[in-house]
Amino acid sequence: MSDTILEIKNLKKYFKTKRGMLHAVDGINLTVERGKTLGLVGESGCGKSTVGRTILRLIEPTEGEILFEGKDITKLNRRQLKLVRKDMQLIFQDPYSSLDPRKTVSQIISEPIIANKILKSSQDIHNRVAELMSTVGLAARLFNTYPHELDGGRRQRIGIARALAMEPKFIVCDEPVSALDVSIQAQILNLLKELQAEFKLSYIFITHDLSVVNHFSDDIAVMYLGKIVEKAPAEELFANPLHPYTQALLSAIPIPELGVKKERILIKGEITSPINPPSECRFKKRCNYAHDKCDVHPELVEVSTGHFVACHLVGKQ
Amino acid sequence: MVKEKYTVGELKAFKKRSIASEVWRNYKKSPSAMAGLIVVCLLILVTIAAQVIYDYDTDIVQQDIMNRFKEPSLEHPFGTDHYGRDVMVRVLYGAKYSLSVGIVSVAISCFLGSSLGLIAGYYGGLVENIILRTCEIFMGIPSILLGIAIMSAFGQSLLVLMFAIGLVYVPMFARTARAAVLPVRDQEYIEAAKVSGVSDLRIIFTHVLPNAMSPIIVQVTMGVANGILTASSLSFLGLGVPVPAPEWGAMLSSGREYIRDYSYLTFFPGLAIMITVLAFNLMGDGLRDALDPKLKQ
Repeated sequence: MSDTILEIKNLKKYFKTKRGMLHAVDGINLTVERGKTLGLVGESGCGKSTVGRTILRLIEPTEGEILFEGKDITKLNRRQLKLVRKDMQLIFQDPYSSLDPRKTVSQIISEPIIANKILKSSQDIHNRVAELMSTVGLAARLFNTYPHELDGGRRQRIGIARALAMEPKFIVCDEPVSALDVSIQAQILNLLKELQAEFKLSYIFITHDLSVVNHFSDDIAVMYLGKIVEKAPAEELFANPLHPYTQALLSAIPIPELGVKKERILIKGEITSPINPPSECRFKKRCNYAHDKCDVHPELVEVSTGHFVACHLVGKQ
Repeated sequence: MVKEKYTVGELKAFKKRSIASEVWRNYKKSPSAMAGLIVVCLLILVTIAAQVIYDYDTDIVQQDIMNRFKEPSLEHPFGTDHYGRDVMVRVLYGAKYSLSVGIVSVAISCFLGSSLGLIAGYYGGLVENIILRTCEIFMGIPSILLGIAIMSAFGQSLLVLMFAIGLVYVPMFARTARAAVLPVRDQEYIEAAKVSGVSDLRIIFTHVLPNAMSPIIVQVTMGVANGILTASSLSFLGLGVPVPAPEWGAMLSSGREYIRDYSYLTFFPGLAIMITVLAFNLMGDGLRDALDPKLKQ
């Protein structure tokens, strides 16, 4: 498979807490195709941001392999990692805390260029920053403004420009629009799509909002408590959700039509604690269809081409 | 989408004032901060002028028993002390000791303390524990006692005094810096810098330090004030700058014996200490406000 840019194998990240091991990410397998987008969906606390940060090794994984263009980046030392990070970038959720309040827009965008010594002369750096700003749709008059003078959408554009500065091949978008107004969300999503086409970028798009990911992703993986419960091409997942959790998530998307009554599947109860989780199906306590078999956590099995589900109900039908 | 092409010349036109001039512009707006700055500048000028005008041997320490305890007058605006020395001349000349002790000792403690605090706050874990616990041990010793111990171990001189006071305030700077770093450390822009391939040292100096600076700057100006007070206290106890140097604390100490009859002997050196300390505090407050870009209009 030569067109795979990123492959995650059995990735695990446990955090030590006072009450035991917190299984934030528990044995995940994912692949991202070059130039495609993988949507990673799940509720807050399910470990999706941890996955994103572990891919960039901002968090060291407990176990597992992360193959970026065939190279296992979990084994790289600092200098090699710095080289790889030129190709991998991160767009943050909160455009307020992801920009240093004491730096001007140009200083923020030029930071990766200077840190990696890509351009030397300040003339070149200035030109490059101006070019990046126009790429992401920032007016050049904002060159020397401070982030706090700008609105959320513009701030997020700065974050995107910074991520693009090193011409990466792969970007982890960690809920890049969830802190923004709906109208601005659309602008930023369109921008990300345009950039993907222009620079042949591959994305992992982390979000809790399925309606966002629908238009954006080629494949979608649904995460629940550190595990992937369903993984399928976007259209297939929306047309034919199999896991009870995915079905519940999809039923929560509002339909923009008057008079349509939609049946909501409500998930009862609270999310199981990720600290020392039992070996049963992680979703068992909240699942409407739970039965005896669910005491063993189901494996992710392929039910149709490209459609994987981890549920005892689905495999045997 | 804005798809405009700008030349470098045009971009330069958007260039705003430099950071220093920006800070100065904000600083100017506060009258109390300006008052502090003016007093500090005057003090420095006076110190330099006093070194030029007065001769240490004849004007400062030479005794004139005929003129003991002269009340303040035109000839001796602050009066004369028990050796007949002019108090005003001694106070003006003595500014040199207080200022140099205050500034040099704070430079020492700020450099050492902030570095330790930055490292502790940024790396956390074991490093943080070792640094903080050591600081706490030192903070458990009363600062005057620690100063006395260092002074008596290394002998009495201006240099040792600076060093002693500098060392005394290291833990305070370390704790202030570390506390200021904590909220900055978890910000996403630190992660962004890491992903961008910026080295730890560079992150500490270009992101962490500027954002954690305000409390440290306040601590510096308070530290200068504290340093001056501690130096005066040590001199008052006879452990600071050796007599007959006209250090303000030492002057207070020797004037104390005559406080009932000749209170001006303690009043003027005390006033000098107070004004200096106040000026540095005002300056610190103004600087902290001026350094915050969010306060800019």
